[in-house]
Amino acid sequence: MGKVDGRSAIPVVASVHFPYMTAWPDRAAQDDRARTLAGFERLGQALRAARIDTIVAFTSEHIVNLQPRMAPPFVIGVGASHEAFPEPHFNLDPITRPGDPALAQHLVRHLHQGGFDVAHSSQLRLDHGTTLPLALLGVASNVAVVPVIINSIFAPLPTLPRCLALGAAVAQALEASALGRRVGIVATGGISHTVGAPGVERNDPAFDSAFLAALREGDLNRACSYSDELLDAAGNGTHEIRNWLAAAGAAQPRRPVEITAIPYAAGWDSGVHQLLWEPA
Amino acid sequence: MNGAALTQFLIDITRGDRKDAFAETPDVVLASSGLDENLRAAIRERNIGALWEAHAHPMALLYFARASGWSSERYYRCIEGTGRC
Repeated sequence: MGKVDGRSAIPVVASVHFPYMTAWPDRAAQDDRARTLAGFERLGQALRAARIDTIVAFTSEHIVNLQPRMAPPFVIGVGASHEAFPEPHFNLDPITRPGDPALAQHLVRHLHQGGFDVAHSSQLRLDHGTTLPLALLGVASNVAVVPVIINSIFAPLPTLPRCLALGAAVAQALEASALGRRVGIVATGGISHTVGAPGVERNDPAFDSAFLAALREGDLNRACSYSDELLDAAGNGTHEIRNWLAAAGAAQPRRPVEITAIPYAAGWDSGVHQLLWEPA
Repeated sequence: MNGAALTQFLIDITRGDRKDAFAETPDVVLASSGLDENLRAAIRERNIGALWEAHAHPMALLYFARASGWSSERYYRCIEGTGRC
């Protein structure tokens, strides 16, 4: 299970990554904290059961690598290791994660051959968008990480259907790999939320519910139907749903199981959502 | 992109390669920024409200405010237009 001998064998997990979970765990109600941690444990179990060698992470970042002067829609980390951007205020240890250059280079080449001109970088740094879920999922320090950063910050952003297609193309590339890696896919990012703009104290539970229902029902056209203006209205961080769409694209035709659904966790000012596409 | 040059400059002096230089000689760094005098003044004076109105990227502006010693609460009060910048 989990060996790259078929895309349906790859465990795919998705979770929010807002840093309040580790910065201020006690601000949330005890039940919300417990359900959140139990969700991470369940997702982590799925990855451990697959005895994965490498995680491919569809992730966002927060002005650590991407900037206005260089903001590709997709960039894959091909380095031998990935340093953590120091974020002690979020109570995250700056763990350097090993990369998987051979698999990452394979992904880049396969994607290019398939018409997906992704960028690549030998020196990506990982911020809480990646380090937080890896920590709470209990991913062992010897598991390699191939970050696939999707630009969700600096517009123009890649379209939602393109992100879905990226996920499908990555799954095809993994299936075509002769490296024999056991791979898990982790997608991280908010559903609706706001950073640095008015509305930081609330999410949009109606949006979250509708988007996640589309994923659960396998209606990926509906999940991709939102305009950037509508996503902005739900909160500027909502653009991170691109990572969830990439996960859905990689996992299709499987449908996800809802692991955690907290519409609004008071104190964390956000919803907590987690999905698992179990290996077939 | 609205505010792209401003956003890039805020990133450079907050977490980029001009961070140390800006801390030591802010006027020299500002003079080389290519930003107009109004924006230079807003940065010099930590006028977060003016930078918000100039379409600085919200995340970059939040980082700049924090680097300037602002609490998150003060930052959000300011950009939400309560007049308590």
